[in-house]
Amino acid sequence: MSRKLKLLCVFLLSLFVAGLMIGDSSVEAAESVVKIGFLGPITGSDAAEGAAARNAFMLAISEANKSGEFPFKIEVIEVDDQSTENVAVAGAQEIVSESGVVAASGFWNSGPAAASIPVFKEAEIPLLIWGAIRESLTNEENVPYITRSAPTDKQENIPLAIKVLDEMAYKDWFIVSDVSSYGSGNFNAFKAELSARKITPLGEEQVPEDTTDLNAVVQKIKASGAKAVYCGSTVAIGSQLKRQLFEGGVKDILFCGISGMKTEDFLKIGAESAEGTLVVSPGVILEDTPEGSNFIKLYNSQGYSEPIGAFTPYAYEAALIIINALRACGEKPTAEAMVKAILDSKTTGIMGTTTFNKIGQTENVAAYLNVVQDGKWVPLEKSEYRQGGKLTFGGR
Amino acid sequence: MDMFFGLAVSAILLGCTYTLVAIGFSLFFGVMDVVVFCCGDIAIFGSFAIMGAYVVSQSAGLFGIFPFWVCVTLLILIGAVFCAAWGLITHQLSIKPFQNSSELMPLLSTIAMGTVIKEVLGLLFKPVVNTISTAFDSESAVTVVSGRNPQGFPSLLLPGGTVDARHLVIIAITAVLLFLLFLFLNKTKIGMSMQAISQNKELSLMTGINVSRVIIITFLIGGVMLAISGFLVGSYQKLMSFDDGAMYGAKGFSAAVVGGLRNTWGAVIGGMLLAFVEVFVSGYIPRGTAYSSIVAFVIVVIFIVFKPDGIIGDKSVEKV
Amino acid sequence: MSGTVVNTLEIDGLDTSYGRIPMLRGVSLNVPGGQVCCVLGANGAGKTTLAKAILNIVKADNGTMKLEGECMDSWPTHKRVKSGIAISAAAVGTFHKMTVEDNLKMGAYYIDDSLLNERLEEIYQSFPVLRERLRQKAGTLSGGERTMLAIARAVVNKPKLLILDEPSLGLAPIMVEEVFEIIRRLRATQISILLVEQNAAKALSVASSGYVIQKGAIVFSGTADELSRSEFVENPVM
Repeated sequence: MSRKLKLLCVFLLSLFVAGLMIGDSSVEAAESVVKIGFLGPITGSDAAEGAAARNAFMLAISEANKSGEFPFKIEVIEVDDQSTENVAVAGAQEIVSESGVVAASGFWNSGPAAASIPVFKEAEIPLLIWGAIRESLTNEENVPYITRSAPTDKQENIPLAIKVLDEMAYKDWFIVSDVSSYGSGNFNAFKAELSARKITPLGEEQVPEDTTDLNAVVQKIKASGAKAVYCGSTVAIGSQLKRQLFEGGVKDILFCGISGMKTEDFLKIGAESAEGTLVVSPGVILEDTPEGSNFIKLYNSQGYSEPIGAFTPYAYEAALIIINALRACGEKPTAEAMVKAILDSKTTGIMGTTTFNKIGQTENVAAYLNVVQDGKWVPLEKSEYRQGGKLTFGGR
Repeated sequence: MDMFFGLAVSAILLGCTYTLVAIGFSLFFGVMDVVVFCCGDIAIFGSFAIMGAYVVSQSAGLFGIFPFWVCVTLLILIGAVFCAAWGLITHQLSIKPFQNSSELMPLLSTIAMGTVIKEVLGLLFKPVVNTISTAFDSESAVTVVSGRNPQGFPSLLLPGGTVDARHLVIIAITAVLLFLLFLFLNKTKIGMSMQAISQNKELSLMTGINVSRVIIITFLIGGVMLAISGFLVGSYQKLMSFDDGAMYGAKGFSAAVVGGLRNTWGAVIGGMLLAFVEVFVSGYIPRGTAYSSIVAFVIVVIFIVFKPDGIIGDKSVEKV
Repeated sequence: MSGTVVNTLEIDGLDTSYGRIPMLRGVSLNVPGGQVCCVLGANGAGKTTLAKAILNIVKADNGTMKLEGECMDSWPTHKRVKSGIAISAAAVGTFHKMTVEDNLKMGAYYIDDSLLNERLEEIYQSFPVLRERLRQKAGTLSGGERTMLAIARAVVNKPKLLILDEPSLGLAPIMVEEVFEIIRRLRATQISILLVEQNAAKALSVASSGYVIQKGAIVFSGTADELSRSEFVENPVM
């Protein structure tokens, strides 16, 4: 036998043996393991967010395994999407081709999420999105396979509306946004909140994104006699509008908006005019709730190198939702059963109680309000603008 | 009536900013017969240069040593040097090499130069990584790279004064600048030479005007004008983005076209007209702000189609 | 030609081209001091190209040019003008949006400010019609007045060599008479004139010598007498 032929034989043999071993393990796994996929940007530019989310997700799963509640072991197939669409799609295919996978949770970036959604729909495996916030990811076509436990940008407007329309009861509104999809989405969402309360705004204006001179809008607001201004835009338009209102003498109003404005730049550019601006932020103040503090304690005791990020609690929450759905599926959960179980689940975790609406979007919009006080963003309840505090908002 | 007055003031101020950029266009078009499309970018570069110089000089303690107005003048001079340099670079790289080719070439190459200027700014003034602080402030924060990169322009114009006073100063400086430009164009040899080249380039050569020198001087002066525009635009808007240049370029060019490309007064009238249309459309038409720029540009298109010479056109064209 | 007369302009072997098309081929000519020298030729023969080449507005490919014996090949246009060559080209027009006075001042680009008014006064005496039109835009002048202005603008500088490119172009006969009367008066001031003309009879009435140019090359040269008897001038094609 020539040497070449020998090498070839050894190669083929080793392939055969390897195949046997893989086949063997999968046969074994079918007995006592339930597999769940996790996708996120574990390396790459968004690694801080993705890796912390992975830690939290794994933490929740290992707690569930430790509890001994399930007759099977939950195993996580971890996929790094590197914030890149084609890597994400390849990862999604890797997950759905694995046997025994009953559900997956994934994505911080909306692009990779959108690209991978068809893979999960095709395989009929449920995907619970934990961190990507593009509104269109959940819709009538993607339901019931695609669900999302993180609120979208637009959903931020709901808690804001409850605060300023119901509690503070402002009636005379002027609403402004930019014409981008982010701006328009917020504009329409807040307008819907207004009309649900039978309020017609005194004026409304959508400005091109590159507008820097908003004086005409300021004059219009002045003439309309509005007592409150809503700005559904980012820091550039928001800070400029607030400053020009202030300089134009329109000072006795409530100026409120969404998290896109809650940046250090808003304070820097707005300077003294920024004072009293009310902005909504997604999430909860973990330290303030017992569940939240427990989570911080638990996470920090694990010795992870990545600190808790903005979406880390959402990933933890997503794992809790999946675990809760597994409970509803009995001893042998299947992907088919999990699709329904996730959509119908009602899970109380660290961010409140999550349920899904008919398009698979969470109905739990955890959010809190912030106000600019002495040149800093301060949570409303801790500021002097709170009920009974020393300061009051304008326009009252 | 109150609103009308408020809108009128806004329109005049906006008109001032457009006019200053438009004058750049008409100066360059006058002597070179080319549309230098990067005027807006040069002006915005000027305001960023002033901003950068401000940060450096402040950390160096310059404002403690000299009186405030001396420092501000110095900063504007620094901006002027940068803009004049860009003017020169634009001429040498984007216009001169295409002197004998189609008129479209310098148009395209100056658009390209505008992109270069914009990207240089984008590189120098890195997109601000906005820390959207969330509930988890103490632990971490979401970072959002804001592509539009807004920068606050320092208060260099009457920092202690009221807004109205500052606006008045902006209008006054624009008026003085226009008056000085008028004097320069009509009372100095170089200014007269610029007009001569604008009216009859061949005869200018025959008259012994050092045409290439005058062209370079025009670009230097245009650069200085644009730097002052950048300063005023910055002081008025208070918020600058590195890619604002394209918008100011488009508005300035439109103003120049509406007014008459070769005419400096046309630039003033065009700039004001454009600003008034924009502000009043935005002010009096419900939800009009989204369309104010579009209405303004439609007017420009109408002028290009029906009255390409502009409001102050070239009526006395010589018949030979 | 007589050796005692110093040539104001000497051209030797001048070639020019427009792109790759040759325009002038080996043109050599002399403009004697204080005299009128004419260049005759049909439309498109290269007369105007020659006039522009002398000022370096059209670049020379080959050949040398001397102004009062000094080689000026490396001089840019504005230096040639400053050194005393002036051109009046009817076809090029005026600065139409400037006043008549400003047009003249542009012509006086290299005259010291203190001498300017004196010099302008002299011009108004020679061209009285311009004094009446001082504040008028040049674009509103009549054809004859514009030609006057073009000549006046060229002589403000007190040039050593005056090139007149087709001064009679497009003028009514009576105006042509007047223009040539001015040329005679200028000749009397001992200025050297290169008169480029299509109207041979008129040109020869003021010139003392001349050249005939055809298809970019000099085909005949001589005194005014010799020229007027030559086949080129008698030829009705001209």
